[in-house]
Amino acid sequence: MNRLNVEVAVGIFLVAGFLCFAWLSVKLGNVDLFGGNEYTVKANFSSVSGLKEGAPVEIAGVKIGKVSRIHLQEKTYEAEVELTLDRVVKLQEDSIASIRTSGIIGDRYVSISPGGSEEIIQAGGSIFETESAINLEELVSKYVFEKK
Amino acid sequence: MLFLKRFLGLFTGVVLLASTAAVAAPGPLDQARATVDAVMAILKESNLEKQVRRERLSATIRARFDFAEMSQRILALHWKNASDQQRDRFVALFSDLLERNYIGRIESYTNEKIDFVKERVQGNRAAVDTLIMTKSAEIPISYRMVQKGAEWMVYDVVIESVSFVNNYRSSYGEILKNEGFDGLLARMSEKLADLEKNGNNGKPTEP
Repeated sequence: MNRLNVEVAVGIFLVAGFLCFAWLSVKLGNVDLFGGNEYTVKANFSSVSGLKEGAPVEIAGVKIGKVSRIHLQEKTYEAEVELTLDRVVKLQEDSIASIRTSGIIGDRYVSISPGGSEEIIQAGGSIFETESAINLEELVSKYVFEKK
Repeated sequence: MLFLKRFLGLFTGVVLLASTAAVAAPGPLDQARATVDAVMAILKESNLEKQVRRERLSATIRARFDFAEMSQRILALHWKNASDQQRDRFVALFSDLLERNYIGRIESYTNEKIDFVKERVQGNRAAVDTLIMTKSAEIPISYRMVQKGAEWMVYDVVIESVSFVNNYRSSYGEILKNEGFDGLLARMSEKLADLEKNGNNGKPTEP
């Protein structure tokens, strides 16, 4: 009888250990198993230079989601970015998504300025208004060195 | 059965007619080009009086811009809370300010070439990409347009990846937060009166 109790205790301990391990790997690997609290929208940019997958999406500096996928559109050669956003945050269809830099040489992130339209962008929809990444070097060379 | 066939025939006829009508209406790129051409034609008429020319320029440009849509996008959330009266006042002031600021720029145009690169239509909205070739550089300007009936109206201008609407959205948003809607309107009319008094010789200032 006593031996059975010890075995049950060890069994429970082991199962709990496995559960903790599973939770830890899901958490560390940023894997979204259930995905109930998020939705994705797309946005096209003519350049996303410097933006990485996993970069934060912010409104007023508050993180509301992340960049989940970046890939090249075959026909237009534009960058299509998939944003995974918190379901609580609703985006109006005239919201503007811009690629910004934190600090002077910091990482790129996506900043969204909310609009005032009655229409809301649905899950799977896209943000039409976008501002691409500004390439500082290109701008400098354009307006400084090309001046005649 | 015969009835069904006739009905189908009629139906395809109507669909075909509708699709040719849709094709016939000029797209956003062509409409933008038409406005630019009209503006250039006015600029090239050398024997016009300054006042008459300004009026004609203003009329041509205002016919292609949707200032109400632009204002709504700039004010964003504040637009929802504003009264109809405040909205009308803002649209009127804002369009006058823009005209005051930029018409001098347009008048100082000297034969820069404008290239219409491409259009991208998504539902009732479109982006028309253009390139202005100046002596020193090529400046990419993208017009964002919305379809109103058969017309495509400009509501945002994106120069060098910087959106006009987004720029004003943040700078006016700041004023709105500190001084409220009436404060913003007061500031704008002050600025407009100032511009009218001093005259403005082609140098855009921050409205």
